Amino acid sequence: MLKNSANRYGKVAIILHWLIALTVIGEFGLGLYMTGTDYYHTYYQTMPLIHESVGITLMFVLIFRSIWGWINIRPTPGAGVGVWEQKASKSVKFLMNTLVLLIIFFGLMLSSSDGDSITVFHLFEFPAIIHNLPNQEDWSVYWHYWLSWAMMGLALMHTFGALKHHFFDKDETLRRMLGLPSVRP
Amino acid sequence: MKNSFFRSLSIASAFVLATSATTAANAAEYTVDSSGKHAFIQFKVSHLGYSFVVGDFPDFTGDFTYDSENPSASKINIDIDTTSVDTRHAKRNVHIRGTDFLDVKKYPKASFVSTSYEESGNGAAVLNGDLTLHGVTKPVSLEVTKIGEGKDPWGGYRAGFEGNTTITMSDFGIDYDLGEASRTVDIYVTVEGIKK
Repeated sequence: MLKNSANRYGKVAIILHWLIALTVIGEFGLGLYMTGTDYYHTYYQTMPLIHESVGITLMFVLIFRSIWGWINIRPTPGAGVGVWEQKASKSVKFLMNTLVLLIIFFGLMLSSSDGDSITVFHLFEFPAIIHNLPNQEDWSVYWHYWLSWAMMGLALMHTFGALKHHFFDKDETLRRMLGLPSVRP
Repeated sequence: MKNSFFRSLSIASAFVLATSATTAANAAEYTVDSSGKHAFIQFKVSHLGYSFVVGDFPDFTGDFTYDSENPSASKINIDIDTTSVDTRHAKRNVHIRGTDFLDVKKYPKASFVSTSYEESGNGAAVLNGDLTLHGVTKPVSLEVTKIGEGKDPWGGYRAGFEGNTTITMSDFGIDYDLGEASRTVDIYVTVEGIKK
């Protein structure tokens, strides 16, 4: 089933979840790596192009997921998931979404600083959003960097939460997001 | 033609009167016209040996003393805001401001303080001084040309100079490897001073 049901995530939600997770982690790793390489790295020029192209694509995917979320029902949490856990996971998910969008925003602000557009996979040009603000490139890169670390912290909490449900509570939470069949009838 | 001739004659005589009224020890003091942007500090670094990257430090202040009767008593001080460095490329600016190059968080200021000024005729001179950059102070020598001085149209008096020098980045503790052709930085400075 593509769409969510009352207690299961649909294929679209599951694929989007893992695609976004891998992309966010990949972008973090690439960003960290490419800013630390020296001038003679073979991909010194191409890594930022890929990082930016993937980032802008991710932005569109996130927008699509928001729309998909609105037009789908939200599966109710599985049995045995406490109220405080629901609240905590909801806050973490909300924060992660907000953070990724903010990280992309500051990345865009950095790349927009001198008014040039961003080439997305050599397919199209994403125009500069705002430029010429005082010290725009400096504070943009600052927030882009530190919010990315904050995001990784939240992703770690999110991962620990999922593993706790799977191995300690032995409930359906992680299996549902992996699209695995229910173990209990 | 005639008019301008007389005007410049009167400026010249006014200048002679003005300077003769003061002693050599009382040389004219000038403020570098930073706010009016009649002063530039530009630099140029080779890119791979094939072309140049040109940039500048738009934010700096300074003052100097200059007396054409006694040029060797001239002095200049320049304070540069290193965070303002600009090469027209946001990410390159961030890189240059970072720890690989200027490390502007740690060293937000660069300065030049002159130690001697020797005119060799025709407005040409050598300006020696101490350049502090990236926390390192080293003597630097600039080839200077006095461009001109005189009254401005708004009731002030101005004098202007330009100068060139070349520094080696590693002398100032900047060791990032940009390649053999890119170890030095050509610096061009032009300043206009308004008499205080």
